Amino acid sequence: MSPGKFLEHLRVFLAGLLFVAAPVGAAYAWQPDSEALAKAFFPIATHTGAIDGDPPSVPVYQRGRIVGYLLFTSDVVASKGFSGKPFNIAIGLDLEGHIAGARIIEQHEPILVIGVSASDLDAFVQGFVGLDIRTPVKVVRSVRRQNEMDAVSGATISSVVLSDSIIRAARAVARERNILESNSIDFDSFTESDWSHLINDGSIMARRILYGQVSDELAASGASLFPPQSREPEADAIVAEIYTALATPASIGKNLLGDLSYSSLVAGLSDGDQVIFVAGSGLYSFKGTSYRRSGVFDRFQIVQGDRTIRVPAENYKRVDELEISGPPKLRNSSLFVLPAATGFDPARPWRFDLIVTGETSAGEKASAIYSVPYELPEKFLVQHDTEATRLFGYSIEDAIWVEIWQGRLGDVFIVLLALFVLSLLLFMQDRIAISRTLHGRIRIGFLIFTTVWLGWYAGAQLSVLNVLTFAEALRTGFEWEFFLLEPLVFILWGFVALTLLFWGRGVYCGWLCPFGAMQELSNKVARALKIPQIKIPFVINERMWPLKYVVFLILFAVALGDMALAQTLAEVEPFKTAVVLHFIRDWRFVLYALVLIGLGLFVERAYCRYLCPLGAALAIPARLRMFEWLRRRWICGTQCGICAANCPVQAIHPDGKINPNECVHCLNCQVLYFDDQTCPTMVQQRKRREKLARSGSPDLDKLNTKTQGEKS
Amino acid sequence: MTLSRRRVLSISAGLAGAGLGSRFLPVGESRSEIFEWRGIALGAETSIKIAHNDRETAVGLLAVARDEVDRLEDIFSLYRPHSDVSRLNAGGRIEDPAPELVSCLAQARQTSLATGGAFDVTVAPLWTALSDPATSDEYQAEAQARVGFENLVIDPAAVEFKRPHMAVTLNGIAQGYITDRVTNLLEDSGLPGALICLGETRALGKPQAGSPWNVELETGQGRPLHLALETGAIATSCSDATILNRATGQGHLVNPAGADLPPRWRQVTVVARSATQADALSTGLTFVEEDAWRGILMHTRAIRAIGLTLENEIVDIKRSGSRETESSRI
Repeated sequence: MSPGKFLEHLRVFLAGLLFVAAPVGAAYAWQPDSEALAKAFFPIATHTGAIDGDPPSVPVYQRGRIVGYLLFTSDVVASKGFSGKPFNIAIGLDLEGHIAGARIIEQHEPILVIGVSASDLDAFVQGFVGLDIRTPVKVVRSVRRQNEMDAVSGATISSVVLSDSIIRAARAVARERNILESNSIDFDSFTESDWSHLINDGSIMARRILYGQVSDELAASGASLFPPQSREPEADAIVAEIYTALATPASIGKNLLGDLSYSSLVAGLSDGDQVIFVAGSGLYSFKGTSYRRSGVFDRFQIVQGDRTIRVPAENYKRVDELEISGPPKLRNSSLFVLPAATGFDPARPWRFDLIVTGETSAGEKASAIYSVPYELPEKFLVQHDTEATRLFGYSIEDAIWVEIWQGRLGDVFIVLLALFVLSLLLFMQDRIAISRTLHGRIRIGFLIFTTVWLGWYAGAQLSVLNVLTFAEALRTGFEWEFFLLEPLVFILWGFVALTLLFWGRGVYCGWLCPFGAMQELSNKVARALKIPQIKIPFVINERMWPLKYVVFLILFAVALGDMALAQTLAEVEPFKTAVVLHFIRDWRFVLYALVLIGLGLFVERAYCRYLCPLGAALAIPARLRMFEWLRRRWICGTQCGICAANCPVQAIHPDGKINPNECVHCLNCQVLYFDDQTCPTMVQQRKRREKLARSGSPDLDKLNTKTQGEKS
Repeated sequence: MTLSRRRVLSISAGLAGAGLGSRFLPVGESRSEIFEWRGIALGAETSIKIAHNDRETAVGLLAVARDEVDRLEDIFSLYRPHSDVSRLNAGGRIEDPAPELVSCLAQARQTSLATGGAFDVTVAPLWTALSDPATSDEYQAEAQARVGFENLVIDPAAVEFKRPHMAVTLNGIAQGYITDRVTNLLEDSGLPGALICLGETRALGKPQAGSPWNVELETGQGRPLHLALETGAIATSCSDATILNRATGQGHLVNPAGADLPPRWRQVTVVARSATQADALSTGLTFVEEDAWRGILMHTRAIRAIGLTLENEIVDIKRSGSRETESSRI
């Protein structure tokens, strides 16, 4: 049996064990058929063109006319989903910048595993249809307003990443295809400037072309600028000094031409027309005279991107006099209108190509081309709004996590506060443990917070999937940004990393795990209702502990080969059902979660102790633990076994040693440690104290303090 | 018709095997990175490598270069029906031709004059005749009559053929021309170092102070030839790289003077100031005797020509007046 085949069988087998419904194969993929997709997205489409551009997209035609573009997110953005594997969504983009259609082509998301179906996700993606990609989009957890997408329940990260990829890819292609004007230009505001100022700030670009350059280049064609018999100019004689500028913005045009000429020029323009200013001096005129015969200027061209614009004679406007102060001596000053139909975009760089034509001795023509590059100074570009502009760039890795954190600032604050309080409690554990009532109240209070707020409200349940994804990320390329997408989970993991070193796995498992808290609280209720507790003999208990490590190692091994299968198997954790989805799920999952909680009514935290792969994953690095916080006495385990008998998770060996891999740091043993009604040492001391009190000793307080300060 | 060239040139990494990157670095600017664009231009695999210390600028420049390649293909490509060259071949005349076409054809004409017609862009009809499996002597003779650069009128107002059914192929020169245009464009944008391989190879800017580019030239002799290339261009033509017609064994290089005149060299490499010239000359010199080479180099001011004879002898000629003058037989 091949390994693949074996995994397939294993998947089906384990899926059966886990009461899994039909859609087990998490990833689905097919070869995208551009033509069919285009017709699905654009009902009027007749055919598609060749994929082209950077980022690439497929033009969609209705007969000879382009009606939109088809693109694939995988061609544009290398977004990784929750599982760290990329997904691919086909998007139809119309010429107005609206999303005409969207469909998932390939997908390896854990959200697809079970419970959240492929159709849920398709529906989510469908929600983008009709969206104007210029407007920023937010993914929200609850109610939907305009341009907000509902997250797929229980799949927030994936929803955000999907949404981000769709919008970002569509915008990048829109920009490449000139569907969206990336920037608008401030044509109206006016600052008075002189010539040298416009040169210095880049409003006017200049280039000087010397005779030496030209004669060299024309010589390659056997030609020269002047007839052979004429006197040749010096090599440093100026053939042409070219000045060029976009004249449409008032701060350039009005300065050059004066108020009156500028106003009449602008008045004569149609919407979207642009005007460039070209002036020159030197031996060679950029205008020449042949345009009068041919109707087209043949001594220059305007080039933008892959577009060449030849200017017809009727678009020429003579400039009689420049109004600006301090211009150089110019032989020609001209304005050329570039109608909107040329596709000229004044916000993008362009260049003026001067074509210098010479002749050979036989009278044959030859040309050399000199470019004057122009880019409108940034001060003229109006940013639409910071967010939209930021999202326009596809090469810049946008920090969507910043937005998410900002959106959840309140939750972040509460979690940080809770962790601060918990840290205080742990550092002052003796003060709490000394009072059984205080400890009981704090414990129940915190567990209620963990279950209700952290779990059911915030969905901040860590999962073994996080561990697997982290391991995967380490293998395939780690990115902080990805893990920052879920702020609370991120903060919790940060805290867990610290507490593993200081206290071991117990702090998370015992205080912060919503499902753990749920089990403990339900067990407390069960005890109150006098439901009998099953005491598992320590020998059996100890031999059942390794089970969770086996579960974890299986998951880890499977994840190395098939993340999707590992995600299915990770449903051994009832967290998604009981915490994130509030038990609103397929009945088989709900049943599984309830069985585990039910078991916990008789055997406290049975799931934590024997099954939880996350607990196992935490216990392994927790061996690095640097401190011992739990106080013990020398008689513990030798003469007395009260703590061990009372440990709710049976983490204390009969020899009195607390097993840090099993301890959930509930502090129950510490309460007993200080309990002068239970702990034999304390009882003894109390009795001595009482005896002394009866005999009227004044040293009562001193004795008391000394006992409490005793170290383990 | 595909014209794949055997890869005979490679820019080597230098003595110590340092990465290509280090060779681009102007002294004192050690943080430059190499950015590369790869694509297809005029049916050939092409690449542009530039050295820059700012990623965004470099990517922007490569986008500019890519757009320019695309724009020039709209002028020169025989595969695009609306290109200037396609329209010229179809109609025999185009008004207001792209200035780049005028400029390129004028340089082609100059090479034709210098090589006595051994390079000629109007060879296309003969090329077509030879690649026809049903070719015949009469067909070839008829096509031969339509070849001749003197019957091509090059003018900014119009480019036209003086005789009917002429056609041009710019396969021997357009790649070089596009290489030059893109190089100029990058130079105008203030780029210090670039290596442009658009069918032909041209270096922009000096590599590290003092040391020229190392170009490795495959000669088929086991041991490649090492050339030092300062700012300039290098092009190679191999007369046996592609078989045009299986039936006749005709190679892809066709002698404009007559189909029955075979190439005199197996491979010709030319170093010149422009890629256009290097490209055209390397094609043309394939049909020129060694005796005439020096005169052609003098006339065109090309820098160096290296030929591999049909007997696999290497002939290396440098133009007198350039740095080294001796010619050598190895």
